[in-house]
Amino acid sequence: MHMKKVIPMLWIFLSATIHAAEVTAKLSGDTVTAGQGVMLTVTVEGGSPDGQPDIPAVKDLIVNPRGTSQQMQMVNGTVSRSVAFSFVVGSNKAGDYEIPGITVRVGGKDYTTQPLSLKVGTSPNATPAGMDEEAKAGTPGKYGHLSFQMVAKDRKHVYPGEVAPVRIQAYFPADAQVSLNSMPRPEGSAFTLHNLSEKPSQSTEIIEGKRYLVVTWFGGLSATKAGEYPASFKLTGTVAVRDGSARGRRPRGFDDPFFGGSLLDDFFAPMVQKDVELTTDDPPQLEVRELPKEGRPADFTGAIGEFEFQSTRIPDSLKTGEPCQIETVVKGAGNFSLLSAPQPFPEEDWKTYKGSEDFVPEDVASFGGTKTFRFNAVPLVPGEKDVGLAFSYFDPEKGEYREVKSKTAKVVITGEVVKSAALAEGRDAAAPQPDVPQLAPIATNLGAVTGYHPLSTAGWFVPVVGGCGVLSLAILGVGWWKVREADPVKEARKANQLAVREAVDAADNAVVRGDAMAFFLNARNALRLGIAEREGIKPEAVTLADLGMEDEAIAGILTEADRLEYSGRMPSNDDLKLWKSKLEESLARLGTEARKEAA
Amino acid sequence: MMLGVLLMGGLVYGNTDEVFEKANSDYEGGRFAEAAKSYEEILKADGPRVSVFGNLGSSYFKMGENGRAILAFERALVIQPRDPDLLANLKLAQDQAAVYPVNEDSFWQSFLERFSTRSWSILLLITAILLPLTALSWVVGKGKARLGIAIFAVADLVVLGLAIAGVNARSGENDRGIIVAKAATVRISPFGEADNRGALAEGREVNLGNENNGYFWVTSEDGAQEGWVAKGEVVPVIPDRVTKR
Repeated sequence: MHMKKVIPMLWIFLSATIHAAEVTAKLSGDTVTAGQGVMLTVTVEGGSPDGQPDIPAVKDLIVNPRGTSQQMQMVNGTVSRSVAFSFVVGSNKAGDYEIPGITVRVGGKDYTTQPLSLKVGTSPNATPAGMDEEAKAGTPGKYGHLSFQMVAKDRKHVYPGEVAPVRIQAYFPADAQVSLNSMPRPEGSAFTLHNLSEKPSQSTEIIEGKRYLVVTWFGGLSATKAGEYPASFKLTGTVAVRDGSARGRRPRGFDDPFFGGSLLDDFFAPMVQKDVELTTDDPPQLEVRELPKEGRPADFTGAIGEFEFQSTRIPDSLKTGEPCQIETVVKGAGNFSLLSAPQPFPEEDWKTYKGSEDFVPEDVASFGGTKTFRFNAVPLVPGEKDVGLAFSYFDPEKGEYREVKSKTAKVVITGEVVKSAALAEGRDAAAPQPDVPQLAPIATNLGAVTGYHPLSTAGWFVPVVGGCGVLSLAILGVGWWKVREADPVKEARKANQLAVREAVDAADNAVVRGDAMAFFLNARNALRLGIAEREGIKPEAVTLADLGMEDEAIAGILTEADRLEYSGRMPSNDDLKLWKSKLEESLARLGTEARKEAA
Repeated sequence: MMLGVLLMGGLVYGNTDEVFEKANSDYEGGRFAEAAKSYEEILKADGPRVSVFGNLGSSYFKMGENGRAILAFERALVIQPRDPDLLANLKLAQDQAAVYPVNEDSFWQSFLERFSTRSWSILLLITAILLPLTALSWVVGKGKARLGIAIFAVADLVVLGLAIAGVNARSGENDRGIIVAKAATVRISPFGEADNRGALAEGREVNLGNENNGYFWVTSEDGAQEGWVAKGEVVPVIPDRVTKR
């Protein structure tokens, strides 16, 4: 090598090494949704790092290295060299994360970057909680292979009924053309897969220097029977790869060793297609344990996982026998399908009915999420009570049952103790609402327009109805009066009274004139009429004998009248006045007796 | 001009018919919100119709708006209390809303409520008008005719008494209200900032009192809850009820 070439290179090298080092870190974005990542680049300028940057551990933050790149620039004779370390940073849990300063050792000296902030938002397609990105891919075969990973890394056992979140990855050579015939499925009958993501995610990964296409599914693994079984899966498809053993001749000019040969070797290699059945290499043995019978709560319905109350709504004033709607939201992770509605406690004081359930998943495998329960409950016992809800589940990590109670709320329950057999019988015995409510068919005939208000609300209604009533009474009154007036007995009595009055008047006149004969004549006539009225007979029918049987006063008047008629001796005016007063008394008594008779 | 009015009436009726058919078609096609909107338009333009209220209630029920469904069925039942379809739909909506009215009506009360107040009031008017006519016939009539008239008068009086009882049986109808909000807040004063006394569930029937500042004074059926509820959260069964003063 000539000195003319060596000196500039040496100068460049020295310039690069003596330049002060600078370390920076930056994120490609400061927000990201859960399950997604942003690029973290740690750049070292003006020095050669002694090793990889030390990324501080942050809880729930996933950091995956994505490679290293180097740059060298010469501007105005100044040479600058930079090394960039790339990482993908993200989390499956929403929240605000702070990445502390990252330390890089350059030339024996530590350099620390500024802290960085990353906001992780929620995503309905988030990876199930607990899923890490550090699964070992293993060594893929020529056409690819399957990888299986439990969410809980240390879990080597599951329980029947439990839905354990799993990740299944298929690795194919990056340049392969892949056509899948099926979704991954378990081998054997010990396990079933649930809620496998319909659209698997795709990414590329370098393993042992070779790039692979990675197809990732998330789902829930459920064991069907107790025992110990390999968790093995298979996937069928067609894979077309380049046959490296049958490389074509390189074009002229590409033989320079600078090109390395590999890329072009592959490019000119022919494609080989093959139907493949990928299986899990070295499948892990999983122990399927029976759920313990000891300590199993009475209300355990098969829920396995980890659950807690998020919210509860119970009306604060109720009446016994009257149903109310209770709403509660339970959040967590596990087999939500077997989680039944929490029950109010004390349980014997309530009658509950099956209600509606609404599950909102938070990840693609439907493992984590929230479930909203709405159901009807009837309080059976009155009083002021602390009412809450309770349910139980099995914690597969701890291997024990757990009972969860919500916060209690003061509820005032009025009414009497309900002893109705229909209500008191077992829970869910007769839900008052059908699962599929059926409405009556809709009307197809438009029908007539009508009104809400009855005629009785109109202003004229009451006067009209009242007027009709008054008019009816008036008509009846007139009719009754006319009937009463047409009574012949009454008319005869009236005529008789008139005749008595006329006779008395004539007797009075006779007294004034001093005509004793006329007085006694009219007096006898008046008495006959009076007796006839009292007896209810005609005056002509009253005989002298009848008159004589009357009291002393009447008999005296009649005797004096006879005496005058036959003796001719006239009484004095004073005597006439005396007889007149006796006549009036007698007529008054007869009138009284007549009215009594009539009554 | 009369002809013009008649023609206009015919056109309006024809349009209503089309809107009704379209609404029914929307309902059958599962477009319940559109159907409900059309039914509301018909009611607003023409006035109450049992058929439209029934279909409106079904639409709201399908939309999950149980309070408004109950309101529509109740309004239809005010006009036609014995309609079995309406009664069944109302029961369904009440069950769905977890509203179970306690029916403590006696046989007598149930009998009276089998007919609408409007029907009872018409009967009351007819019997009232017959009364003076019967009385006049009795006064004018003679002999055996009077006996027949008297029997008729007694029957008329009995029906009149029934009609008065029937009108009075639903005297509280004007004050009935239905909670249409998912949970209506009961406040101690008719203001948004006032403390709340609790909530009334959707679909519950309440007794409406005075109106003040966009709030109704309400009392729950069992009398356990009282307070002010915003007008949008509770709706009177009789839309143009006379407000108490």
